[in-house]
Amino acid sequence: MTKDTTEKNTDTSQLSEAVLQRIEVEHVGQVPKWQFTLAECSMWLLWVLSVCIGAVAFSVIIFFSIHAHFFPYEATHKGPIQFFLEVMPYAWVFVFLIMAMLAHYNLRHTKRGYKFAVWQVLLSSLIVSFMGGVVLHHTGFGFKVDHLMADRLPFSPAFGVLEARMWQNPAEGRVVGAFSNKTDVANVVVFTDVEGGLWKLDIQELNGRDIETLYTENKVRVVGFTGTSSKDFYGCGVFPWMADKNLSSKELQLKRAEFFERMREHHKQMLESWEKSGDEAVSTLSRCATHQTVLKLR
Amino acid sequence: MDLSTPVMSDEEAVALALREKAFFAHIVLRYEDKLSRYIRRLGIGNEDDRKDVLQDIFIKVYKNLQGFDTSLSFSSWIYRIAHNEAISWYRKAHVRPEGHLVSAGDDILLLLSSGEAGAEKEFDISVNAEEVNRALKEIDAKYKDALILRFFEHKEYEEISDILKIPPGTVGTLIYRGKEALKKKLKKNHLRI
Repeated sequence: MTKDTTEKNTDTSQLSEAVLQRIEVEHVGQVPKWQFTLAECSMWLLWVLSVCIGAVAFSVIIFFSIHAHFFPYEATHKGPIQFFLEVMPYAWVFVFLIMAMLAHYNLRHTKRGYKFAVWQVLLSSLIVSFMGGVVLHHTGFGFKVDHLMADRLPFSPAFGVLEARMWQNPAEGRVVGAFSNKTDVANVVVFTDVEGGLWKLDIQELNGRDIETLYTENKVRVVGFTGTSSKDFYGCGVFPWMADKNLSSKELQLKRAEFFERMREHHKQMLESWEKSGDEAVSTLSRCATHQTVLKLR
Repeated sequence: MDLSTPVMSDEEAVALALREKAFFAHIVLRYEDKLSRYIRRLGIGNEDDRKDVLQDIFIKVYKNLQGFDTSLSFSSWIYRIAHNEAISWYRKAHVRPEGHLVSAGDDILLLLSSGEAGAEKEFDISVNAEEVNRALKEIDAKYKDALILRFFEHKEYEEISDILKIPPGTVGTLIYRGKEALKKKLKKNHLRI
C-alpha cells in the first residue's frame, strides 16, 4: 500500500468516526417516517384544496359570464367588450389565478412533482379546476357562492348588485325595482325602485307579457322614460330580474329574446299605425317607439 | 467484510444503518470520496471547508434516512442532499465557488464534444483545465450543475433529474445550453474552437 492510500484511508475513517461522534454528542435523531408521509400527504391535500377553491371560483366566473352574456347591455353600454370589462368578476379571477399558482406549487413539491414540466403541472391543475367548476356550476353552486360571498366579501359584489347598479338610471330610462300597488288612476301603478324611490309608473304601453311580469316577479327592470313630474315614469318594457335566479343559459336566452321581441313590437306598432293614420300617429299611438332607450333594444 | 465496497447494495446498507447506527459508517465510507469530489467541483475548494460540509451532509443523510424514497436510487438521493448542502454553505458563508472544478485528467473533450460527430477536431489539443475551469465558473450555475453531474460525475439524465429536482426534459435543455454557453466563454477567452 502506498503512503498516499494509507493517508486517504485514515482520513476516510476519521470522517465516519467524526460523523458518528457528532450523532452521539449532539443526540442527532432520525426524523420518523410518519413525518415524511405527513409532509407528502399535506402537499397533496393542499393541492386538492387549491384545486377545489379554484373550481369554486371558476364556477362563479361561469355563472357571471353566462348571466352577463344575456344581460341587455345594449341599453347600458356602447358595446359588449365595454360591458364585459365592467362586469368581469375580477376578485374571482384573482382567486382562481392564486389557487392555480398554489396548486402548481403544491404539486411540484410532492415527491414526484419535479418530474413534470411546469406547463404539465399547471395544465393538469387548471383542467381539474375547470372540470370541477363546470360541475359546480351545473349544480347551481356558482350561483349560491356568488350570493353567499357577496354579503361577506366587500371586494366581490354579486352579479345582481352589479347589474342593479348598471341598470338603475332613471335619467337614461332604466329603473330596477318592484310593483308596490295600484292607484286610482287607470294604467298607473306605484313602483318602488332599489334605491327606495317611489314612481308613478304609467303602464299603458306595456303589453300583456310585460304587465304579467311586472305583477308576478319580485323584482323587475323597466325600460322607459321619466315624465313631466320627477316621480312619473313611462314604462315601455319590463324585463324580469334574473340575477336572483339560477336559470339555465337556455332559459336566459329565451327571456332575452322575448324581451327584445316586445321592444321591437313597439316599433312595429308604430309603423302599422303610421301606415294607417300618417305621421300624427307616432306621437299619439306610441311614445315608446321613438324613445332612445327602446330604440337601442330593437 | 469490507462493507464500503459495493458487495451489498446501497439499499441494503441503508437497511442496516436504519437498524444499527454503527452501520451508518459504511454509508459514509462508501460515499465520502465521491461526495468530496462532487462538492469540490461545485466549488468548495478549501479542504477544511469541504470536511465541514461533508460532515453536515452525512448528518443530514442520517437524520433523513427514514425518508429515503426507495423508488429513487440512493446515490441520487445522497447527491441531492450534497448539492443542497453545498448551496446552503455558499449562502451561509457568503462566498463564491472557488478551487479547481476540472483537473487535467478530466475528460474535457468529452464535455465539449459529446454528441457531435468529429467535434474533437474542432478543439485545439491545448484546451487546458485552467481555461475550462475559468469558463465553467463564468457560466450560469444551473448549467454548471448539470454539466458537472453529466460529464464529471457521469450521471444519467434521470439521475440528474432526481438530484437537481427538475424534469428530465429540462436536464437535456440545460446540458445543451450549458455546452453552448461554455463554448462561447471559451471562444471569448481566445481559445480556438
